[in-house]
Amino acid sequence: MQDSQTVIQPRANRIVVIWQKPLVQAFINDPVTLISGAFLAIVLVAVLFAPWVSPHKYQEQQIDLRHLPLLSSGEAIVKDTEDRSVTEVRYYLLGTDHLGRDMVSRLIHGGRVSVTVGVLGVLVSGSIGIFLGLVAGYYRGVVDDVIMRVVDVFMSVPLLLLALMVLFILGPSFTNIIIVFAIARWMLFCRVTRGVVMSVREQTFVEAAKAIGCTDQRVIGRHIIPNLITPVLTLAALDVPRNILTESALSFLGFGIQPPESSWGLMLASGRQYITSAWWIVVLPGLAIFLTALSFNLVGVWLRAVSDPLQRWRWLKATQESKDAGVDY
Amino acid sequence: MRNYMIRRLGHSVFIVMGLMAMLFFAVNVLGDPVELLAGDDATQEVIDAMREKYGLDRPMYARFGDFFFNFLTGDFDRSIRYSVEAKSLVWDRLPNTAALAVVAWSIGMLGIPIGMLAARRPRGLMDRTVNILSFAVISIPDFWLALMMMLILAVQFNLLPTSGFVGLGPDGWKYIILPAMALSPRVLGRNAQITRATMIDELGKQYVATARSKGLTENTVLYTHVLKNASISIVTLMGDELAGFMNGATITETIFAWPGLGKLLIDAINSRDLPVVTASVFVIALMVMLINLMVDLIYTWLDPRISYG
Repeated sequence: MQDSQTVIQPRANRIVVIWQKPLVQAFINDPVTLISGAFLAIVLVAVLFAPWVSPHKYQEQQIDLRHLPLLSSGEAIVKDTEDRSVTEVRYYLLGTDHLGRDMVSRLIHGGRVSVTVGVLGVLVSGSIGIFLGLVAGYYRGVVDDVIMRVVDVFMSVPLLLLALMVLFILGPSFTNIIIVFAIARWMLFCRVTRGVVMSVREQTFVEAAKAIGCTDQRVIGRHIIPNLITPVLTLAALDVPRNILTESALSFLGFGIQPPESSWGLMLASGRQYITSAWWIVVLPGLAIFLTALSFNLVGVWLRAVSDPLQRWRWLKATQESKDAGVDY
Repeated sequence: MRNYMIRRLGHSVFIVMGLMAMLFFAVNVLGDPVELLAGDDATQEVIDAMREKYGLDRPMYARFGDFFFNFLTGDFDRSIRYSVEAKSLVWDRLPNTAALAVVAWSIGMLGIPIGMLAARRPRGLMDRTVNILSFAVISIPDFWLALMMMLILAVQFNLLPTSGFVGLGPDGWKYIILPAMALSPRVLGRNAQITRATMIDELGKQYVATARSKGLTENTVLYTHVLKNASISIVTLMGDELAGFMNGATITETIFAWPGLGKLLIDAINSRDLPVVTASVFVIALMVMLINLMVDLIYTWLDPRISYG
């Protein structure tokens, strides 16, 4: 016998539940954010699987096929299995550069370096900044004063200047660029973290946690860090494009990534003298930097808007019904 | 007010001193100044001779004392490359960068009315467009934009000279347009974003509702009430952006061969001219400090509630 009140509902599919969350719906219903997100996904997949996705070897030179325009094909000279030179007809979607290298493959591999530098730079500088911000905001006192004075000093130096100084002293390399971002970008994370920590630690739930005898580690780990996730994530999304742009500028000036490695900025710099005869060598890497940075920025600003309680309703309008129904975010 | 000024000035001096100490530390502890001066392929004799010539064989604390004393008196040694005082090189280049900054910022000021337009109706058509466009212009790599402008305006259509400098006199205006145009979009975009965000923030406050309920027209509310209050944050945030101006200027000056501070610094780094590097970093830091100081003073003037105590 079954009571009509207690009809057991079939458990909803997990994917469907996530799909129906207002935040996901808002993401999908906003065309600009959706396109940016999709573009970022494509870029990330391409750079993660670069060796498998690129049509040709990115460092293979075919001097006879230099400066091929977009959508062209040419006969490349390759070695066959018995080490004889044979020709092979190849299709070059985005043309070739001044050494006859395939632009598509070079863009994918260059992007690998650019995006890695951007993301890794944020991870390192973010960790340093969050740690120092937690210490400063939680323990206050002299430690806080010292950390914030150092933040002031670092904040007053233009980013590129600091980067140039560090690379001048340490010499240009991939690792040193990451070090540059660690040194030059931690302050913002520190300030934001400190601000959040200071406002949270005064609230009753922290007081209560302390009253029942929680250790500092537990209060920070359980009560403060969860409140940090959204602001820090937003800051990170907005900082990745900044790093990508800075890396490309440094590589362009010759202080960043060094050949034979490649990044978008370096591709642009090395193609600079061919700008009048083969514009695509310069235009395409620039476009890649621009679109990637723009997508990161748009996703970041969307994140910031939906996490701001004063602004969020404008973005979640389409899902007002689910909000009324009390669905959690 | 006087106490406040003194305290604020002390703070700025501390920042510049901290920065110079950092520079000394970086050059002398992380790196080796002789190696920076001599380059990678110098022989041991050359290195030893240099060490003696520039007094780098003395102990670190003595050099640190000298370094600090020198920069307090504004003396930075002679440039290794040009054999003139590094100080005079820097002071010669400063007006050129300042001129570029003034022109680029005047164009960038257009961002303020654009941001105000966008804030009138948040998430409306205008707002969405401005939002995307402002992020588009700050996502453009500035060196790429500079190259594209050069290619289109100077090479294809021959409207302006590609690069160079003929002085800041009346003949010079043609040469400043391209570099200033390459620099201004980022400023414009940032200004529009700052204005928009601040205005939207301000529009959510209760005094706006009061002003509207009094029956004031939307324009009066926006331009006399909201704008006045928003201007405080706008000025502060714009000061931060102005301090970051040297980022773009360094690259733009290098591309357009504009003899400003940024190009001087890049050239000095490339030719391992340590005195000039130190002097330009010092002057740039000084400029940033002065800008921040000025912003703070404007800030207190705009908002009388801020105490000077």
